[in-house]
Amino acid sequence: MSFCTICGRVAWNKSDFCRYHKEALDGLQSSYELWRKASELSWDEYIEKLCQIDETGRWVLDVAEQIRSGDGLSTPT
Amino acid sequence: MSRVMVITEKPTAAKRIAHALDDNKTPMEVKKRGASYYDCKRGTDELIVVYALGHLFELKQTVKGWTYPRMETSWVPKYEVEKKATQTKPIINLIKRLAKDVDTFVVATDHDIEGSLIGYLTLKYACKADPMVARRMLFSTLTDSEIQNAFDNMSGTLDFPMIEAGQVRHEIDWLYGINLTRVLTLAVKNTAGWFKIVSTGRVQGPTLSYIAEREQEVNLFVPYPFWIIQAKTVHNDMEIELEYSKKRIDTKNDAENIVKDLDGKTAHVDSINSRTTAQQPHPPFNLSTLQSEAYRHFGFKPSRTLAVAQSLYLDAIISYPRTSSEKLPQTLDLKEILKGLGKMKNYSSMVKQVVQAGNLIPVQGKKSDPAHPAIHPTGSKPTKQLTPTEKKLYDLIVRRFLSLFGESAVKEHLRADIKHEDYLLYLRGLRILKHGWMEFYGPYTKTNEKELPDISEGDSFLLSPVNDEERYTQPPSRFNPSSLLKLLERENLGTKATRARIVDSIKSRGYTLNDKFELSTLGYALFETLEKYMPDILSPELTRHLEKEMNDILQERTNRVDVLSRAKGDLLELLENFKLQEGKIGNELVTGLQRYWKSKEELGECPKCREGTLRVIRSSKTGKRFVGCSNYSKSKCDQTFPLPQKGDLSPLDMTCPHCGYQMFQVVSGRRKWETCINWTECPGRKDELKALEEQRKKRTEKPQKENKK
Ligand SMILES: [Zn+2]
Repeated sequence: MSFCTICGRVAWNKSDFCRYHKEALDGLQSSYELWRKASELSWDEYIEKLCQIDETGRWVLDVAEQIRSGDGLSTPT
Repeated sequence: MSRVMVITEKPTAAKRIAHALDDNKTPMEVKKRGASYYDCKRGTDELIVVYALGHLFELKQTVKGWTYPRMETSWVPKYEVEKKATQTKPIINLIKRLAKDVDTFVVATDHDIEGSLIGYLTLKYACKADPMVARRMLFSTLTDSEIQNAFDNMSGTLDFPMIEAGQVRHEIDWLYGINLTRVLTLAVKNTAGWFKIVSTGRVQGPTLSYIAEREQEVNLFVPYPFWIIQAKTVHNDMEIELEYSKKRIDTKNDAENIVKDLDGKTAHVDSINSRTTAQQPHPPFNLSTLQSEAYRHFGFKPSRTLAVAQSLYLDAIISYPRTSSEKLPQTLDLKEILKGLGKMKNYSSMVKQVVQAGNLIPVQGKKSDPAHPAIHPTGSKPTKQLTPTEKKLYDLIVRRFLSLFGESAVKEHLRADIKHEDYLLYLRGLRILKHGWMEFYGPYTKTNEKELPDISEGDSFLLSPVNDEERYTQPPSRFNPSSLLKLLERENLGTKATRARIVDSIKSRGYTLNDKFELSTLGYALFETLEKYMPDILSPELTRHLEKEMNDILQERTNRVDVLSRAKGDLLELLENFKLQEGKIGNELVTGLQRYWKSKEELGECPKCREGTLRVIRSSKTGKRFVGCSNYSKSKCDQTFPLPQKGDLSPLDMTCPHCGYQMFQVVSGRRKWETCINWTECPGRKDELKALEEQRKKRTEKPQKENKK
């Protein structure tokens, strides 16, 4: 059994994350398009922004911080 | 002469009822070994007014063993089940003795499901009397006149459907609460050997589920950006803020173009429009609207509002507060109530206005309640000095009542349309043309009045400065006690009598962290386990079904025995299923509990005594937190460490490379850092502290530079 690299819950379907952090990652990736259209941010700038603003949900923030620290999660294609 | 026993719900109610019923208004309180009763004369009758203490009897399992399933119960004195309930023993004994030579029994408890059940159980198990021949007094306020009237016109029979509905609710709550809590607790015990009560119940399950769902929405929230336009101008030496006609601009590019097109340009007043609206008074209070208004204005938790309202009711200055009704019946003597209020200094001038206006037909709401009217003042003077809290709530109730007779409030909404080419900006004003009922409701009304500056059509303005500002969409807000209570009411979960307690218990059991109802790791572990293995317990269907069955009992469409036997059958099936999965349930709860204890309280083994556990402790004197050893209370170890006073702490699975002490993480706002519990003394932290300080300095300088850009 593998565990979420962020919170230690059981990992979801072979991913590195539990179902909550996996869902947060999905939400974060799918929202990028709208951010890009609205303010022409690069992926890195977008991640940095999410880390800074108060409204970001806790699980989304966890995932954004992990991406920022450079663990290999990359821009969605 | 006949001896009549009047059974009341509480000591204060007994005192008032005895006072109202005694011919000379001087009932005698007879004290006997830790309990008392009131002796009164009424006509040729001798009245013995006794009191319960809420419930005197509780359910107990008839077959021994702390295990499940346990399906059979009987009613026993409360002190046999709850060790703390020692006060009930002398009361039950006294009632038993007095009941021996009584001719007529009268139940005078609150007229609702719980009150009816309390009266019935006291009659049956303390008085050993036949409930079929007992009589019932019905009232909604404890004023002398209403009590006397209720006694002189009492009903010849008890309200058996109400009693059965109450009994069945207690029985089913007991069955579900006891058996499911044992499933969870024993799963933990059999897995890890720990005995930690992990509870759930019929209403608590769905409540936890609503909180968890909201928590997930908040935690998964990805904010989106939008921009707003801020425009200012100066008119008659006064700075005026204008509102851009489109509240949200979707892209940065569009926002910048608008600013470019408007900044420094001239705009003119195209038109000034006005519209008037009339607003009726709010309907009379029921318990839930009173609770939510008291939370809004005074910050009272719903359970507190109920307790304070209960004490105002027992002082006979307001009507019975546990009501759903928003209606005042025509039989209510409004003139008499107003007369009473008119004698109170704070309200006399308002009452005069109401009487002079001559409209004594109050506004009514939609909801009704078969047993009680909406909450209203009785007009009686308080018999004691009210506490500041009581005063506040009483004032809110009186003013709400007076406002019901007021005329509609009339508001004038003004809007000036200001144009530059195709761009439109607004300037708004709100004037209250007639205060009407708002005058009575006074401090509890929202007015938002705003004068429109002195401008006319054709006036021109220089728009400067015009700016855009980036904003973000907001996550849904977490529950507060009042919004959670409202949700339970809307979903028809629990009753007006039990909801506030359920809301409190979710927090006191450690499932949520603060008044914002943020789910704790324990709450998560419980929710996740229930979701996986007992989803039915989280679903509101189960409890809604019971509320419907209770309602059917009240309407005499079904009966207690049938409802109970169906519920037992369903529960047995659930329990058999759980038994098979006990190991899995235990594992998940144990992992969750470990995480909870780890994150909330404990910071590893004590380095001094090597026996106790280091815990975060709050000083009762200073309120400051520090780390102490769990052996401290046993006077075995005095190890302590200071802690940073701000931020959430969680232990890390590592020790300090410099001093070997336990490391932990601090999260304060957006900042997050790691240190050891020995941080103030640790040789390796001195450089770190310096570096941290420098970083902090840099951070405060940076935004200034950015501002200059
Ligand atoms: Zn996770």
